[in-house]
Amino acid sequence: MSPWITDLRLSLRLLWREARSGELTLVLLSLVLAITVSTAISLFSSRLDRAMTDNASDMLGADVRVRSSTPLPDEWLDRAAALQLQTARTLSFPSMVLAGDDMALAALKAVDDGYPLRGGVEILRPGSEQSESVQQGPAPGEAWVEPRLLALLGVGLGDTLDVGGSSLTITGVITREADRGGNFYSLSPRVMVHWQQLEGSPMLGPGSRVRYRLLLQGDEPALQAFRDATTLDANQRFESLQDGNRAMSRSLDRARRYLGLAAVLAVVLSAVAITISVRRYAVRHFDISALLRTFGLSRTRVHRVFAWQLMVVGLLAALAGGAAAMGLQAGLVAMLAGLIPEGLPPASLMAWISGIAAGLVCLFGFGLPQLWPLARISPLRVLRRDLEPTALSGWLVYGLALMSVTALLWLFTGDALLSIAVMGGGVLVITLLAALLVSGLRLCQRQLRGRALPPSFRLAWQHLGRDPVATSAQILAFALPVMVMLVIGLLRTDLLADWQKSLPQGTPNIFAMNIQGYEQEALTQSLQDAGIAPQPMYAMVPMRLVAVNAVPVSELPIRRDRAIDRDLISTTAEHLPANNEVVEGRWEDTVAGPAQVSVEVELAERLNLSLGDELTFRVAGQEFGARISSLRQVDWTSMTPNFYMMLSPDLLSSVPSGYLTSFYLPDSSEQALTELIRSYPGVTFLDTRFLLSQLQALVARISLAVELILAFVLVGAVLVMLSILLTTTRERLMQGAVLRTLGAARSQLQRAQWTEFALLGLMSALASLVGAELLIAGLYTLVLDISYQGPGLYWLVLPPVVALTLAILGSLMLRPVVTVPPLEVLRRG
Amino acid sequence: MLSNADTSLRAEQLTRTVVSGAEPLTILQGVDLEIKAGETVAITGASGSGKSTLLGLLAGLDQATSGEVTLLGEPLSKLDEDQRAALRARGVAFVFQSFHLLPGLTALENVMLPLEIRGQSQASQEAQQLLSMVGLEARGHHYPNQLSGGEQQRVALARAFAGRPALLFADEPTGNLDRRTGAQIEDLLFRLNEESGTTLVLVTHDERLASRCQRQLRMADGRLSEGQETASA
Repeated sequence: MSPWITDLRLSLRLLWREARSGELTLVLLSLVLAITVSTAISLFSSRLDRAMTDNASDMLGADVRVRSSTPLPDEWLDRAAALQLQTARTLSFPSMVLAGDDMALAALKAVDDGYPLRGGVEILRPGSEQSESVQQGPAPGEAWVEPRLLALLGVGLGDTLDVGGSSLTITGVITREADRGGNFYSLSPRVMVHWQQLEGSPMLGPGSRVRYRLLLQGDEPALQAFRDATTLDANQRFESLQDGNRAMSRSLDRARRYLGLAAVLAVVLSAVAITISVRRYAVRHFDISALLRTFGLSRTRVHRVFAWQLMVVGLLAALAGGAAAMGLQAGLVAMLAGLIPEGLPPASLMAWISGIAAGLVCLFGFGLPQLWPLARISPLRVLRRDLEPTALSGWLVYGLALMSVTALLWLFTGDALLSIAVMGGGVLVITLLAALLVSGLRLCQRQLRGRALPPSFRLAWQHLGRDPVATSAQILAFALPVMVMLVIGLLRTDLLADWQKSLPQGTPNIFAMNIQGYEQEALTQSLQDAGIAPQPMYAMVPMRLVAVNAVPVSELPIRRDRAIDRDLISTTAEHLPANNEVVEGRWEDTVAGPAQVSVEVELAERLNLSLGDELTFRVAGQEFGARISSLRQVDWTSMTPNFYMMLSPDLLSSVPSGYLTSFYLPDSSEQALTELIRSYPGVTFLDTRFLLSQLQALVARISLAVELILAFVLVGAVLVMLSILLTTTRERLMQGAVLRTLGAARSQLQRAQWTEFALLGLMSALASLVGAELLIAGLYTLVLDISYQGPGLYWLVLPPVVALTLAILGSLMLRPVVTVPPLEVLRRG
Repeated sequence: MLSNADTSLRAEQLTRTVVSGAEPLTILQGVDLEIKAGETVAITGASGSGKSTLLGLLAGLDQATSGEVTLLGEPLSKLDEDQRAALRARGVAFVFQSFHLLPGLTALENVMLPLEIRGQSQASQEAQQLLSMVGLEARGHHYPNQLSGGEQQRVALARAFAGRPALLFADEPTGNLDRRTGAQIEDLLFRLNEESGTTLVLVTHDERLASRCQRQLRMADGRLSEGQETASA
């Protein structure tokens, strides 16, 4: 028989027996936990990513979209037809529409017969209460409108609407338009008409702000061929969703990072439990290994026997963990329903592989080094029980473990800085705690030596004080799970609080744009009359960057950037908006002028701009220059007006500008908004309440999802505690048996046990609190940039709770010390 | 060289020193020994006289500080740990005071183990036969903790004779058993040994057990001296 098969059989036989004796239960449970959590998070992320990509195409309404401010060249259509791509054309621009004497500014959109390609449109037809998904746009002579317009004009389905001189019948109310987009300028209510209705209309003449779009759908090679063959003019570009809904995607991203972090911590706890349990397993198998060596099994084959065991355990755990992960990620999806796209696509194969691999990294990265010394045991141990194998180098073992955990963190959070900060901080804190504990225990030992102590306390202390290093390791092992729970728990509370804080009650929910200078005062007055607190008004200049240091952008490598050839919403620099922070240069210099500009820092990085650069802008056909005198960090998640460029006030006086403001509209003041819209027909009001309510729901649901992961972290913590208790059980049983033989009373032993575990719990709780304080302070100030609260009340609650828990757990596990006859314990050895 | 085919085991000027504290401690001092194939030899001595250390060195479980052990014709100092293991697998067996059965394996599987390590194909049948020889044919599927001490040592004997080893090392084989069970194990050991013609090296402090061997060697203060020969063994 091949030695491989022999070894596998031997390995399985031993494993079967171990499994029945429960020897491997903790290893298996910990591994299943690690695999469940890591796979669930991996599956969840993968499905979300795929949905985002798919959804992105839906939101474009196409696989690829080209935009032009001049009519679409016929050759594009011919080329698309030749490449067998499906096409649709749209054109859109803001225009006034009329109904009787009433008028409103609408976002007019004409679509041809190919529309929609992807994502679809849903409308409500007359007499129907359910909106239906449609596969084409309105017929000639018809118009579909958004409900807001009906309210604005006081019209209903079946009424007529005057658009550019033609009378159209309203035949549908648009309830969903996938490719609506979120651009500020397009946020007046939609009026959708047939392409014929507007083609060649005088409304499209020079000066109109029309956007033509070609929507394409088809195979990726054909799409790529189209891209390659099409050269774009300066007024044309391929569109992407990059500048879509940043606040939403950032919040989701943050939530995912946090879920990832929590998941990795659950995995780390499992890894610790695996390390402890596998080490215990190894120690209990030294005799067997020595015996196998005595019988002539080579080192390699002994390795193989135990490696097979790990592999089989890994396989079983992968199966069980994989199945549990399906459930867990389904739970996450259910909890986040409504925030994430419906009908998520299945996860990719890679997600399965990386999730399960992450769990197996735990087993092999943490378990194998513990098992390795088994084969290095001297066969002489069969004669001399005291011989122990030389362990692998500590640096190697811990180095491997640390590296695997950091890699896992990185994989799950996608954030190298956060991963290194958590790991580096963790190692630093644990080293510090270890040093504190060892010296603290030594100090106590010196202080207590020779003092009269109650007998049970003395017994307990003898056990703890005998070897300060070993006791510290034990305390740290108990403290670690508590610390992880504390960090995650506090992080959750504070992150949520931070999110809530960024969207406090009264956060502006309506933006008003295109306010003319002469309307400023009147509008402010109207707002006050309606009981709405007005916010500062910002000048608003849509301007284009045309040159950097006198070199036209078309000649610079940045010419393809999405910020080029589009209007950057800019304002004057009278006051630094809230949520803005100057990170380079001086704000005062920008305000003082003349001809200064402050640039949003991410944009500056993308465009390679630095302090002192001369920028040339064009506004309404007029060019002017400005020197960069400060760079600003902008919190795009805040619901207040934010700007890429802020100009010194002197510049603004020379260019035409509108004004922009935002205000909070209580739900009860709906009527006030309609009045405002009617009174200021030229002002575009943008209602962000839907977005806000979505954000708030997001926060609530994320917190639920996080609690689900926390439950797994808790299980990990319990596993670690159990594995430590199990590791020391045998030694404690023996000691108890010896003491009982020497005449110690049961009650005395029980009291000693209680005291010992309560002391352990107390010290662990204190160590975990110190550790958590340090870690959180570091994380908050250095990485997450939120204000540090600290565990506060936990200092009072945690020590008694942990002490009591450990005392109860410990004395339950050590019941045999007082229930099993001492002789039996001693005989079992 | 004294080497000839009849020599099963030879030790020349064997010394073992360990460092205990700052002082080097000599456990074995220049031990010379030659055991012929098929011989039964007892090594006796008081606790701490170095008998178990000698057994470890002779069986290749440990390495001497100086001197040479030639086991089944192979000089051990020329072999690395894995080669020594392979040599043990080929022809060396053990019986221990504390039985050392694998708790995870049944009696039958314990006996099969050395056969399987050697890659023997009929391991199960041969193991069953050996269990019958020690009178435990009905207990093959019991685990060690379901067997009495005497039964466990009988399984260990069956395991030791599995694969017909050339050389058997026994370390206090009756040390953990009561007198009556010990006597039964003794009888079984010598009977099986006689039937298989195995060379037996037995370490014991029991003079009566030692007297059943053809030769008795006595360890004292790390030195080995020849006792009287028992012709009747």
